[in-house]
Amino acid sequence: MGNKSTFTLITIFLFFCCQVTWAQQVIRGKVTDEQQQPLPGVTVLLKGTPTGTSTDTEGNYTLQAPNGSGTLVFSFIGYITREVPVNNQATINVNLATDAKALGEVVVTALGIKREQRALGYATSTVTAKELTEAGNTNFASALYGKAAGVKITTAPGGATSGVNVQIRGINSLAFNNQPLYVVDGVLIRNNNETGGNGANNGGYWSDQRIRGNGILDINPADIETLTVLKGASATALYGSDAASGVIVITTKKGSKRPGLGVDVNYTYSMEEVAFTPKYQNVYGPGYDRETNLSVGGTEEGWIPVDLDGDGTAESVRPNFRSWAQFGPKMEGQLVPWWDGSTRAFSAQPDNYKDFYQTGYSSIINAALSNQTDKASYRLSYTRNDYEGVQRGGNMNRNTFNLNSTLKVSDKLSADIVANYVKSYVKNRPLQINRLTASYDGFLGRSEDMSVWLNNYQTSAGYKYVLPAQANRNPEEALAYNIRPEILNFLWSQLRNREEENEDRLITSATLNYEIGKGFRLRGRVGNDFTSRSIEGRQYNEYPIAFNENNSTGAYNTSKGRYSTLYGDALLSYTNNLAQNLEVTVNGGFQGRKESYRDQASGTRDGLTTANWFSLNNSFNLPTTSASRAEVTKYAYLGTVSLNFKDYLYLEGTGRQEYTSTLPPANNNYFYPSVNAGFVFTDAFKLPTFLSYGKVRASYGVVGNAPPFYQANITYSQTPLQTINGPVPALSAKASYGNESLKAENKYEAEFGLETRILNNKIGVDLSYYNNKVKNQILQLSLPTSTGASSRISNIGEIHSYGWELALNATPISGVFNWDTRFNFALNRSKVHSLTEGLDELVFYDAEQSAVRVVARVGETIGDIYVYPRATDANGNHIIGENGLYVIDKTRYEKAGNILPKVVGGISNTISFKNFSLDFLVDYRLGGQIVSTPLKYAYGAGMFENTMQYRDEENGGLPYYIDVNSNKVLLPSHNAAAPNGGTVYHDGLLLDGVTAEGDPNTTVVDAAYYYMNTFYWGADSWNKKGSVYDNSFVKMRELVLGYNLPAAFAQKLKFQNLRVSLVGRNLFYFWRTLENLDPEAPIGTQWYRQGIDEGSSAATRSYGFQINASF
Amino acid sequence: MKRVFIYIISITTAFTSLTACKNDLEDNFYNPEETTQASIGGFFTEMLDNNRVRPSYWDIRTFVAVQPGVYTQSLSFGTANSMYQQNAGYVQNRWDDFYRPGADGGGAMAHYRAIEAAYAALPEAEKASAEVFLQAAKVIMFDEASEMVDLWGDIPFSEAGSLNLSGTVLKPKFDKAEDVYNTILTGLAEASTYFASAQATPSFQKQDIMLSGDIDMWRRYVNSLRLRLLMRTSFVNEGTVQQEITEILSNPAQYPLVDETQYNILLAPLTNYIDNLNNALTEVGSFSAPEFMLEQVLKPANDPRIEVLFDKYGRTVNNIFVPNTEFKAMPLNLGSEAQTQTRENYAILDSATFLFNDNLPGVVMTASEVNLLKAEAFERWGGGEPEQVYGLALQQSVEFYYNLNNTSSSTRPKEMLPTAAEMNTFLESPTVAYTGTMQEKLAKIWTQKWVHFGFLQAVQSWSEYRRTDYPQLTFIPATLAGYEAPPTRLMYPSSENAYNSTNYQAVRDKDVRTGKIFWDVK
Repeated sequence: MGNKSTFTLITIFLFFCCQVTWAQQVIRGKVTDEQQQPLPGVTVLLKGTPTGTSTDTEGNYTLQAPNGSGTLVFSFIGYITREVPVNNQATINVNLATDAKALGEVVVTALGIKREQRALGYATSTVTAKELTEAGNTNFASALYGKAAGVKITTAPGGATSGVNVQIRGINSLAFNNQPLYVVDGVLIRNNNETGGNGANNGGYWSDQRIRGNGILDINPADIETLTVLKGASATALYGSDAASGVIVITTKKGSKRPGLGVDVNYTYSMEEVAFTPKYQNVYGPGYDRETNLSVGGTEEGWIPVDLDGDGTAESVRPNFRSWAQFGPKMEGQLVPWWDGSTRAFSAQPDNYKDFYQTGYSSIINAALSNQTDKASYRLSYTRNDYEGVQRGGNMNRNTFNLNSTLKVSDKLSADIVANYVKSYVKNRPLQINRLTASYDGFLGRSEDMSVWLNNYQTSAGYKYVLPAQANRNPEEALAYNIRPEILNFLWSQLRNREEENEDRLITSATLNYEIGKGFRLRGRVGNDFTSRSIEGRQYNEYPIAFNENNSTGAYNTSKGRYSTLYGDALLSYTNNLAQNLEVTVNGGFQGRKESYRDQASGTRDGLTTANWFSLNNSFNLPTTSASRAEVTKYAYLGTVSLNFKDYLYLEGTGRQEYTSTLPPANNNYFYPSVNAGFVFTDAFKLPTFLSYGKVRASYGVVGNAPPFYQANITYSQTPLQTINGPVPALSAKASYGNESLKAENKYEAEFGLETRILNNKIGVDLSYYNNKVKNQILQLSLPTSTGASSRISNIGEIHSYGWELALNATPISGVFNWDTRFNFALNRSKVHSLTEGLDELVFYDAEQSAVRVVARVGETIGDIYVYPRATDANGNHIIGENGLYVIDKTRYEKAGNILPKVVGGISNTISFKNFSLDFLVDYRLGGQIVSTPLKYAYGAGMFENTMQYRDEENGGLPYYIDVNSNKVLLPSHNAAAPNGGTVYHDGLLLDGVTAEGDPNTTVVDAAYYYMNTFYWGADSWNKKGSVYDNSFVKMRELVLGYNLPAAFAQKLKFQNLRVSLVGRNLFYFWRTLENLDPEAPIGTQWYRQGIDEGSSAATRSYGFQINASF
Repeated sequence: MKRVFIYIISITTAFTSLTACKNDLEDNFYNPEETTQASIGGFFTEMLDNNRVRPSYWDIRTFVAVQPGVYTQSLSFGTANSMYQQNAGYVQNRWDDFYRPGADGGGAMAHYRAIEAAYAALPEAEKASAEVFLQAAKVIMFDEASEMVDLWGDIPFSEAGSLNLSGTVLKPKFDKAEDVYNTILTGLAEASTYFASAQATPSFQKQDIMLSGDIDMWRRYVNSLRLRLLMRTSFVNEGTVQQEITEILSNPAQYPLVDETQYNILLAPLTNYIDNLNNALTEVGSFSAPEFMLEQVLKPANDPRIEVLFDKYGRTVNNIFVPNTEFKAMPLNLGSEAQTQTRENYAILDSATFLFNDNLPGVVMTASEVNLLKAEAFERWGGGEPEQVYGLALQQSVEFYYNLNNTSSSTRPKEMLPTAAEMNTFLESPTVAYTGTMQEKLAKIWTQKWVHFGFLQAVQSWSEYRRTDYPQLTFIPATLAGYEAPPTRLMYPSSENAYNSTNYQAVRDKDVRTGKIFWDVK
């Protein structure tokens, strides 16, 4: 319907605007919208006649009408058509109201097939351009937080260069592809396929330390017209093996809908600062428990004696800068020798974590030019984004050009040509801070002042800091005492060394629409997503080459990548009325693509010969080089049949026969069918008037997932070795074993939904329920290496999921003061139904010597966290060891939670009053836990406020003395004296439990010993308390306060429209359960990585302003 | 006209792309950078190219210097509360390097199974010429498997490597340590017979990057390895061991051994290797001379090896290096802060021999060890002159370390081999001379073997230390609860617990750090 009427309107408009009019009465007027803004391009028709015109850029029109009689019809897409009788008026000003029904009426579905919203038998969510850009997000994905039901967004910390994960309807695949397919103007684009199945940042501590981005960051939000989320299997079935995790269909902005030149300029500037920092204690400085302090050569308290004048006797003391634990002396401003050789006050540095970072900024300017003529329309846009994150040493800039044009070759033939060119530069992507949070050589000690680190990471000659052990390299500047070096290493990497990425990406598509005959259309499309990437790394020499022995330091490496996806499809469609009231549309077509990935990397080996000359020719040893190729071919035949009965009953069936090269030749093709139906019962039956609109829908479909390239083949890799026998080839099997009987994984999903609008469209409800099975789950099944490989790609079993999604929108108040609110809620449960024989659980994450695991067990919810519990006796009492600490039971596991949230969603509101508007978005995640081993290490190290407990009398420590047998003996009170004038300590604690023999525990331990041992790395610690935390939050995600300058004023300045707004993102938490970690700290593309923190980077908050102007 | 034109273009495009697609579909399944062709020789070379055998950065830094080097005090180490706690990630690595391909270790088990599979698939006519690979690969795998047993005890063995053998996943059971040893000992006896009449092929000579296809050397290696492992089990099963060892030692024509320096089995570094151990040892503060070795064993005997094992070290004062006046080891009980403050006062590992030597070979079997084994056998069971082979072994050990020093790539000054007179003085010094009760003599043999192994053969050293309890080392207790003393075996890596849990359950009770390997009965 919508299609047809639009078409008719345009035809009429085109036809009549050029007609010669005959002299009659002249009517003038101005057409405005609800905000009193002029509406250009409105069609004005004299009812029942061919006479008509359209409004100009200021909304004015002039029309000749006979005898001052008749009726004027004002119509414009997206507005309710109004009829106004002329009644001899010379001026008719009209205000058009937006048509809530019409907006979003047409939805772009799979393969760019446009369908009416009301005809769909499955759920979709559409996000508008305004929602994507108003808060100044640098990419569209992070602007999706809380905006679409069932779509969970997770942004890796680190800012604009870090990847964003989009998860639609929970976990659809246990292995690789949990990211939706992205289709931009009909072309499938690269997200992160170039890394094969590995994704990015999934390896934790031992893998790539930089926080990587993904391909969707290149899609400029300012160029997006609409974004449609296709969620269920039926909605995405036409995409087959790429669509198991949903599809996001993006349409970029086209040329203006009205004739004449339009210019839009938008500017956003925002500051980014570190937020939600851990609650550190600021009382005690570095030092261990008494026994360890003594064993390292310090005093009981933790001071290290210092012999300043070299006479062999110590006359001063200093803190133990090597100590990772913070159980040492109180920081009271004492002047002490410092590790950099100076004398400094020993005082707490409460803000040192914050000072470790800087204040970043983001500036985005976007200018767009659009025009329309009889033959063509186009929009040309340019965007420049400059960004500096909160981590020191990094920055990014990106230039995006977008051209979207439509050429009308003839009445029957039109072509759409879209070109996106993205040029980006990134220097020193943020580093994960796991070397600081998950290494005992890290930790920002409570007494460490950031400025001292910043002054010492390099020497005055630009070499790396010099440790005391290597003092001969630079005796003057060598550090006086040993430190935990990871912070200096971090600064050296980020501030001295450089890794620069340059990327050019061109996404193009050309579409030919040809109307062959009545009801017959042919659409052909070719597209290309091409990326050329070059990365250069420069590592400076760490010490003068004079100190080189068999190798040098420093490095230069360069790598190049060339990734291309060539895409093509052809679709022939036919529409006809089969019988009265029954319209049939049939589509048949072909879709194919070839992906090609080329990577090449070269680097110096064993350092640089001449200091800081960055060239392969300066390599100390023979330079290294490597190259890899990958080709992927996928194609499919597809068809759809849709029936429309009386515009209230719709039925559609689709089928896709697909072929993919990533599956073994025996199993490389699949058929994916789907069927869906929509029934608008408010049009079929006479119903009470409060029910404005009601529809029920049902669908069923099959989609799939093929493995990434080259993971299933069984091959060997060859290396030429330079040996005593001359060059000899060595052949190695692979640690990830292939599987040539692998099958595609298939998702079967049924979905039911209800859409209603009640009370004159004031309240809208969209409710969906889905239930799916994913069979033949493909997984890199982790194996004990004793099988000969560490993993093998396998079909491992079946998971079942169901979920509810609810989207509510309401306009509680309308008029001059207008309030729109949209709420959404999604619940998803996924269980493992079965696994292949011999397998009863899958272990996704195994940490702390197997003491902490994230698993999927048959019959249970996936993502359960299991830990080694504290040992208990038959009566459930905790067993306390002879050392006074809990005994950990390593023979069994105890469930400690689940990493997946129970419910996610958001509430967004738009409140407008006259020229002011306020938009705010709150999103939430409720239920579920997070695994964070760094929190345990920091807790054991006494970093946090909550580790003050037991340390002294004020914090609940027990009084005791140490007897001659080194036993700690409790004293009745803190004022009691120890026998023989011994020392009384106040940091005792007595754990509640029994000894191995069953007697109540009487072994007193000191606080430091308790924390350091109970929350140390490994399986002997109390992981449930230390490493598993509840993770729920309600967050103020986006806040935008906007002001439209009055039209009169704007026009004086030659603007058609001028708007200024204040924007804020990630402003604060209304509530959160994690106190020493940001709930959104996790990084990584694997689903389970979203529940695991291993030290990423600080969370941020940003705020700034935005100006939108159009001419 | 135009319409026809468009049809033709679209149809042609569609068909050309379709045919192209069909062909690509299968081609693109295989990675063009890799091969699907198995090659027995290629797998064999991969097994030999082993940076766990060669002293490499990763093995020394993450395994030797933090585990066996500490437990045997063949290296010094930083005092820390976790100094006796094994590093799970690094130990996992060491385990994996035996079983799976990739990384540093050559994947002996995986590639041996791949060779077995490829050998079975060969036409009968080609099997004869390929058998030498199969036998040699088996010996290499056995040698490494015995170290696995020495480190962990029961290990997956008979069923291990199923993927490479048959392409199927069989979660392997843990074989009893004794059973693995028995299989290895039987297999080595068979290999000894095979190599006695084997012929090298040109392909074997090329692919054998350790011994260049020298069959005589392979015989010596096999027999010496058998001798080593028999002796290891001699306190459990003395009767059989005595009999078998006597048979080997009494028939040198049938059982030639690595008993002369020229027969040392060494794995040369790749010819383009230029790294060294300086970073590996300095990063963890393990480059100081170990106290017991220098102060209690070498100095009292005025051992000539001191000159090539250690540097005196010293301080740089006003840009001039002032060496220490004597070799003095850093006390073991020094606190970690004092260690770093005063390291310059104490001797360190020799910079030419160890720290900056990119020619250091992997030490597989040396004449000195074999003669010390002989000495022990003769001493315990007779059949030869223990004193003579003991003296020879010390002579060979001195030659061995002087040779490492003299062939060093370092430009630092090299040491001159001691004269015969100096050697005699050394052999006659009371702590070295072959005198005393049988127990005292054995103690000297074992202590000298410990010195000879040093950190380059730290795994062997740890095994012999646990078997013999010599030398009598003392350890400073650590303050980390549960890790006060060094372990007597390594804990299994968590991957077996996680992914092979059914079989792991059977050995869970044995998986404690105080567990003992079956030959550790003293």
